[in-house]
Amino acid sequence: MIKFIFFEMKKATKSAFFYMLLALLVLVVSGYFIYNYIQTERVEDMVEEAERQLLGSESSLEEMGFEIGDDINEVEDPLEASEIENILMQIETRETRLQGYEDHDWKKVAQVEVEMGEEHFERFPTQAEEQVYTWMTHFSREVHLERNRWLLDREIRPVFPNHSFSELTVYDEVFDSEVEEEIAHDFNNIHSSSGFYFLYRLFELLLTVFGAAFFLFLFGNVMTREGLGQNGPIHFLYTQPVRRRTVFVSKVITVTLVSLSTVLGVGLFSLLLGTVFDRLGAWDYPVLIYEPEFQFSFMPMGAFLLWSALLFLMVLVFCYAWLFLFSVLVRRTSIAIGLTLAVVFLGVQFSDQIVGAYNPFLYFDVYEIITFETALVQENFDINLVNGVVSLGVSSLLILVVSYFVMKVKMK
Amino acid sequence: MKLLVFEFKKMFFSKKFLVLLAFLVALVVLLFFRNVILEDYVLDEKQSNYSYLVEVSEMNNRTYTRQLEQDLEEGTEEYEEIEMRQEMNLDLLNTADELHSLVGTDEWQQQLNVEISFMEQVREYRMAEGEYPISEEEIRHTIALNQQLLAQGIPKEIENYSQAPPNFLLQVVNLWVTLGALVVVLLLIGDLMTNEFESRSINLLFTQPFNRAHIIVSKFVSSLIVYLIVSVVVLLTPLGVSYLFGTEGDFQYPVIIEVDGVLRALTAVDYAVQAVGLMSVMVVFMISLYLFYSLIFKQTILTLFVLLGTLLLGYVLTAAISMDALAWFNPFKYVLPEQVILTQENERWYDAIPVTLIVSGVLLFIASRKIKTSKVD
Amino acid sequence: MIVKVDGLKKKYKKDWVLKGIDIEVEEPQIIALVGPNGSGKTTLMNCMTNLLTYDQGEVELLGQKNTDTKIFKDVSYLQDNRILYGTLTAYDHLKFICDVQGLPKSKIEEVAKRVGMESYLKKRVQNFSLGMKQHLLLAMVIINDPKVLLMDEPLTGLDPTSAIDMRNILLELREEGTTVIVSSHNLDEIDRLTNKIYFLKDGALLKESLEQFATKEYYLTVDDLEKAKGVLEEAAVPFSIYNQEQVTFEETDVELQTVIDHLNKQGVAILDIENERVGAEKRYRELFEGDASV
Repeated sequence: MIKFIFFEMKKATKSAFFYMLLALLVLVVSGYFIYNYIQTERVEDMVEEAERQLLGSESSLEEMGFEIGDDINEVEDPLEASEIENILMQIETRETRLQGYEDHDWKKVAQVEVEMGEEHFERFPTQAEEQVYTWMTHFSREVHLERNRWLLDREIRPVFPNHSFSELTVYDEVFDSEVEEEIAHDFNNIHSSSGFYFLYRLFELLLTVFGAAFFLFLFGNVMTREGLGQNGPIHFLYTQPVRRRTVFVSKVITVTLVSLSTVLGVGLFSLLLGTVFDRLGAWDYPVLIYEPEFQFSFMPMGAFLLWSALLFLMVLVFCYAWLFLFSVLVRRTSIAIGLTLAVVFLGVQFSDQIVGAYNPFLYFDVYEIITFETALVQENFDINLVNGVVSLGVSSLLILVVSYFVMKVKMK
Repeated sequence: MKLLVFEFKKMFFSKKFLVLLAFLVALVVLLFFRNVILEDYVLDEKQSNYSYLVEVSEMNNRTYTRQLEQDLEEGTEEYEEIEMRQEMNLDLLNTADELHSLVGTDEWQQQLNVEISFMEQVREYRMAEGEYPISEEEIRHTIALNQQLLAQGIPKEIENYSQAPPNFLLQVVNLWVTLGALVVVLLLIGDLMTNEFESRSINLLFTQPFNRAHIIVSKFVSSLIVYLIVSVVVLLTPLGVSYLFGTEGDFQYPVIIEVDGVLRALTAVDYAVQAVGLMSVMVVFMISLYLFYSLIFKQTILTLFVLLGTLLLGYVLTAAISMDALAWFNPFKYVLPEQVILTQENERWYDAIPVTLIVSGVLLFIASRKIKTSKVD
Repeated sequence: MIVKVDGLKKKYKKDWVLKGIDIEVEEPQIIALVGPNGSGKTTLMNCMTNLLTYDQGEVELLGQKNTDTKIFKDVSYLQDNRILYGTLTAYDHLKFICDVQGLPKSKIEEVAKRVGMESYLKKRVQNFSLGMKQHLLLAMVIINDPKVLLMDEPLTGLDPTSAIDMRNILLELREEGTTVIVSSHNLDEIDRLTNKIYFLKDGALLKESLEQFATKEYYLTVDDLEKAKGVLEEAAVPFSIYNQEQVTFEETDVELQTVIDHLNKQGVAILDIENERVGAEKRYRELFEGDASV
């Protein structure tokens, strides 16, 4: 078996096309890194922003004819006095925040957000007093507070921007205006060239239907190459002293292993890019996980990425199963790939209509499964990683068994 | 001409083509019976959606009551504001309740009218800083559609679950123009040219006494004819099935589109014609691009990968850049024609037809020049 | 029993391609399988190796059922060159076989040398000529020193030198105790390899030992061709002149000794005697004359 797997790997990797695709992958990853690098908000930007905000507060104070150091008790109008008091508090917060940025004191930065959040929730303790469907919802604010508590506890350097408007959750269903919607998405679209966060953004792009399509092309001819039914190389393999299913099984194992190592390779390469040009980042950066009834928790980013890669691998195996089935049925590479793509796209498109946690097409959006976003939207918390792996695994196995028998029959 | 017939025969009488055609017809028929089977389910869904809205209003109401009773003093500005919101919310609750009870009845005009007033109430309520999970966009579209339907006297059909010929046709058209046609064409022409190189059968054509450019032209024309045949079958099947087994419908059924921020109505027929027309333009472009690439790469997988990559990249890039002035120069605009028709912001659906056809022509021209010096390894 | 095929029947759609084939081989030998295109030679071999299923009959190789893939440790099958992987090198193919069958790597060099393909061992198969592919196919089937070797058209695309090399290798294998079943269109080569010929006609096997048909053709090189001509004409011996150099005649027409006696008597010196079997072609013509496919 091992020998067969090695031979399969040799066949798969000994083609110019394979290396072209890998080179393309490296190019895309590098290109996306450059894009993220450019888009990253740097500490200097944050310092500048904080300074600007501070100046803004100070100048509004000046406008009111009040100078820092004046006695607030001398202000007669109580309304004005409370306003001045507010601004003074604001200035204090903004100063602390600026200091945090300048000193790279991330605890201080997170502390400011936590304090502001806590203060907010003193005033609005339940979501009944706040927005439930309109951005920014009470839920999103809570997420922001807890995120910063997490950052504070673990002394993690935040990615920027890290203010309450940078949270966007599924609960933010509606927006007051299109402009607000745009702003919300803009703030939430956080880029960072630090290794882990970059990988998080890259996998968001790669571990999707499009990524799966890429891998389908990478292994498009793994079965058709053997020239089934036309005295092709399969006859060479079948005249070796091994069981025939070895040939089939070793192909499945090979494509899985090579896919796994490609995904891992991309992961390591991304972390390397981040480390060399910026920093590694925190493996335990918080990723939001939804729970039923307005509850939530966080998962360390490293674990999140690993689970995502695992689920994506199962998605790939599922795609390969279809590819194998169509390969043995039609024996032409182009049609096999075309049919597989068609089935996958159609399946994914219609997946929300065939609900139920055991529909394998439901699991193509890996991130949304791990964060339980799909589960929340579909109101079915059975849609999770474990059920995904099980349903993808079982259906892949079934399709593969069918393919094997089709191949056996077709060899006659 | 003889070559064209030869090429056409190769495609038309292939097992692949006939199986694909049968498969597509079966798919459409299945889709229709899915709509039939899910009829009740969809009504249930609609009803539960309204009960959800009722729940939302009830929850809001409880909050307001508590606020008024505990937190606020009577007579203050805030108190009055909340009081007003509570009143609006109660109106919403009643209307949602009415909608809920109207689901499944024959009083379609009343349904439409009530839905319009419901949407208007939601709008007002949200303007008064009330919380409701319906966006302004949805409000606008629902009102526009309902008004059109009332004006023309057509009952509302549930999108994507209808058994009426025009609506079921729309459903199929939308699937067809959303990647459906592209995938089918891909399957039909996937190795049309590259296989000739891979199996070296191109040498048979190369050693015949005719201009090699004819190979490109006849392959192009025959794939186009095959595409047209498939399109006609795919579009006639839904009409046939829904006439036989479906309910009555009206081909003037409105499709709401947005032109420069203003909502307008298109008839189902016009929409279908435009969508299929744009898709056909895209298919012309795709076939030309395929023939062009196949002469460069001469290898099926590579050609297909680059072809799909080009379409995807072109579409994503032009969508991301989205410069209105560029619309005229963007041959990738019709990868997903549905959106192009539904929202026309500072651009029109037909903008990119000329450029797409011109680029296709140029690609075909280059291909027919290139094939003259083409060799098999 | 080395090879046992018992009542093998195979049909394609409605036509019986093989109508009950029986083969029994008890001693190592070379058997030639001869028949026109489409007569089912490849089908028979594919059935024997279980690459194709068949409708009836049983096949045993080296005493084991052909469904047991373990037999391929000792049974090799030289097939069409389409079984090769274009992107891999010759070495890759041979190494894979060594890996799977547990043979030492040294075998690769050894077999490459034997077949004469050392110079392109590390080149990709897609750049091979027809003959080079044939060499590789040969190397692939003899690397495991098989006890049974099936060969489907092994001579395709070989130049004369390689064809002679191939013949010598097969004769060596026979000496080493390998049973070879070879199909070929090259009747001359077959005559040189064996006189055990199985003709495949209308889905049935005509097993013939060519001893009964084999006739030898003699080629005599003499010191004075003109004089020899005169002598033989006078003695009324049926003969002809080959290539303006040699006197040639068939064994069935006249005994070699008679000719030698005639020539010696008249003082013509015989410098060399060569002979060639011509049985296969003769018998083939008798069997298939008139078949459109010949």
